Amino acid sequence: MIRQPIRRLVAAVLALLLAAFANLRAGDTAIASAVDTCKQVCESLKAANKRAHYVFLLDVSHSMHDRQLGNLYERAIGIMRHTLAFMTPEDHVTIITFSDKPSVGRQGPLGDSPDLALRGLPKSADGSNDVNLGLAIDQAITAAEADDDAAATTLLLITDSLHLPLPESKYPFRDGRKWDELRSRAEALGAGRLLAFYAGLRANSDAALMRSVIPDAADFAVKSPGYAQRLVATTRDSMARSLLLEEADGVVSVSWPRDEVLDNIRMGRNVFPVIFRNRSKYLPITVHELRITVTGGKAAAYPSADRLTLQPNASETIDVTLEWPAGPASMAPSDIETINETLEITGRFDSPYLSEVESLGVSKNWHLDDASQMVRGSVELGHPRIWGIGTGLAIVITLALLILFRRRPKLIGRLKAGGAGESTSSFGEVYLEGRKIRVPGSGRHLASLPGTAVIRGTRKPGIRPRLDLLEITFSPTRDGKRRVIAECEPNSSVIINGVEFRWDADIQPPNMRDLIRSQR
Amino acid sequence: MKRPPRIALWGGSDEARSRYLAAIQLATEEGPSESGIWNIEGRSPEATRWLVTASAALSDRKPVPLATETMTWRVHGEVRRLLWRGRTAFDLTAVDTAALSSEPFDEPTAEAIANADALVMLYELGDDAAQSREAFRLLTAEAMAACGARLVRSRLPHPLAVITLDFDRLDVLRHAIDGRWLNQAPTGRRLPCILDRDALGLLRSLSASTEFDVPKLVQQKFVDDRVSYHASSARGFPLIANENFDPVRLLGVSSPADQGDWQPPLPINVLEPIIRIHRAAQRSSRTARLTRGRRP
Repeated sequence: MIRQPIRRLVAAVLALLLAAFANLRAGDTAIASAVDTCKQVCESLKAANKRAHYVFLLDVSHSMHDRQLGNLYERAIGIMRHTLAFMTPEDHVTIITFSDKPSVGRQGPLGDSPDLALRGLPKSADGSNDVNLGLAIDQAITAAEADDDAAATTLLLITDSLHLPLPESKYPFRDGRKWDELRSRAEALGAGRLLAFYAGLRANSDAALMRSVIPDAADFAVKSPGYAQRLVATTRDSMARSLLLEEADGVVSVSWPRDEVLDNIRMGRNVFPVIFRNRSKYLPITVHELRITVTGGKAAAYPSADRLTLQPNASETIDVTLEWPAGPASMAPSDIETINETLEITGRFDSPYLSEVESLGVSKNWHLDDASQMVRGSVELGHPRIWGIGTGLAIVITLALLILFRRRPKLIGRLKAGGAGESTSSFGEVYLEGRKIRVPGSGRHLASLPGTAVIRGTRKPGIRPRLDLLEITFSPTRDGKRRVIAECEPNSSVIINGVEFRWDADIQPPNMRDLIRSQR
Repeated sequence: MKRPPRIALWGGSDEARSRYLAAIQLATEEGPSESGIWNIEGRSPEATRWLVTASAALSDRKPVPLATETMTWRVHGEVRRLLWRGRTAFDLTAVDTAALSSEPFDEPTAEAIANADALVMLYELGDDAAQSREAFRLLTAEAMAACGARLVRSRLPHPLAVITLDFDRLDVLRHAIDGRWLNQAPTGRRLPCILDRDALGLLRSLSASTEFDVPKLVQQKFVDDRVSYHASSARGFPLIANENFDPVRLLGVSSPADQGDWQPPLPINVLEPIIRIHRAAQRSSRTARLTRGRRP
């Protein structure tokens, strides 16, 4: 009866031990993986020059020299030495000793040997009995704030003391306004970039006050194996994460052509360059399934490539083809078709280091910035030019025809007129000139012509006006009543209202010499 | 079937009326004119034979056989309307008024005048003016009595065309020249003509000095706006080269018959007056139909 519980207890203990061992192995593997990952990422991202900053807060108060518990100071030095052994030479190390007030000791790159970093420390814990943890942490935060180049900063507080400040200290208690200010300064350094550990060398020490400033501060657990390696790995993780955090919102920005291009889309095929810029400083990004959608559906657009690999902080250009079939030509004078659509580029993001990014727990929010762009354009489907030219020609031709065909020809020859049936020798005569003459009028008169006559020429249509017929409008009365219009052929006569008009078209007006000769 | 309008031809001598009817036949043979395509045919074989004989005699410048009162002719026309070509016809009857003698007319003559849809009155110079005036008064009085209620403002309601048929007489031609009424056809045969608007002036000038003042009498017996005046010639005038008219040469001889190179007769303004009076008759009957359809 008794053996059975004992056997069960032994089995349980063995199981726990096995589980603890398995956990330990798993933890070691995880730590190793994280270190490798960080190193790999940093190297791959060309960020290997990034370093961490370790700030050690070493208690040198008198209690650290307690004989009963062994030399705690030496033990603390051992912890530090062991921890420094896992760091890279580029990592910066700041060692602050403190009791009632802090004192900054060594500060700078670790170098090749951990012992070099510990060289300036006091031989023994020779500080006072008063311990001011607030001032010590304050000093550590100040050191972290002063180092802008560190990708991550880890504070390690090693103490065995309670917070027992001297009177008139800024941190008289374990909490208060100054502690809140300290926490705000720690937060300002950036979540994830500032890590903190504390190692309480006595069970009742106030090492956990570090959590008042940095709530995520973890117990250094110096008694568990691999503590030093775990601290460095955690720091490295933080460092890699802080680097990749910058890429968490990493975007690929799209640069479209200038507005003159996009606001003047033409019918048919439009090709214009679009520049994709990877704004990530470390991560190469690949955009798969690159597509361009056009709202409205009036046009279609497609990129010259559906996959784009962008190196960090580099840009690539692809050609975007926009096909706009505006429609068939119209016979109307004007038929303007417009396009006012939005182009939107979409794609699926990928990176060679996506798995690493995800393993570090960095949530990515990659997207294309300025992926939408308005395009505008208009096209004339009608034929305003042809219509304009046609209308202009029609007007010109019409005017020309009007001028050519309406213009009366110049009158030539001689017109005689007299009573019908009388001898033409008794007729009055007038020489025709100009394009229209009125008789009587302008010094002309026809003897024996009782009324008024207007003589004009008519012609056959043609370019050059040629006198074809004589149009005589004659009224036998001075008041213009009983007006009759008749046409007279060349060298012929016509009777109008009892008056015979004879047109001798070939007779030219006599010049002055002929006139004088005839008078002699 | 609708009866074609009847146009009664009266006035002048029997010879003048016969010459005028024969000239209509010659005018229709000229072919299409601005007023359309026209044709005249006898309503009886006797009338047809007469038309052929008379037109041939007029063409040969021989005496024209006289038409009788029993003869009737129908004039067919194909005229252009607004959108289509239409056919029309009217009957033409020569009313024997016994040379407008002063004796009372027999009742059928007055009935023929009264029942006609339109009238064509020929006017000749040289008749006994007093006798002609009396005959006109008697005939119109009889016709007015026969019309009874159809009178308009105590006047005969008929559209009337008064035609001076002596235009081809040299004295009338001289009269037309002196009065500034003579014109010449603008194209084709350059025949002289008297515009319709001047025909009244010519007729007044010719008849004013006689006792038979036609315009004045017509104004008393007919509705003024239904009367038109025309000057016509059945024979026309001789033309010189280029189908032109030379009044000097024509007036240099005593009479047209003395002209040696007379061409075939070219009637002047013969068909146009009866076409015009026919249209007036059509308008008049249309108006009368519309008026009859209304309530007083």
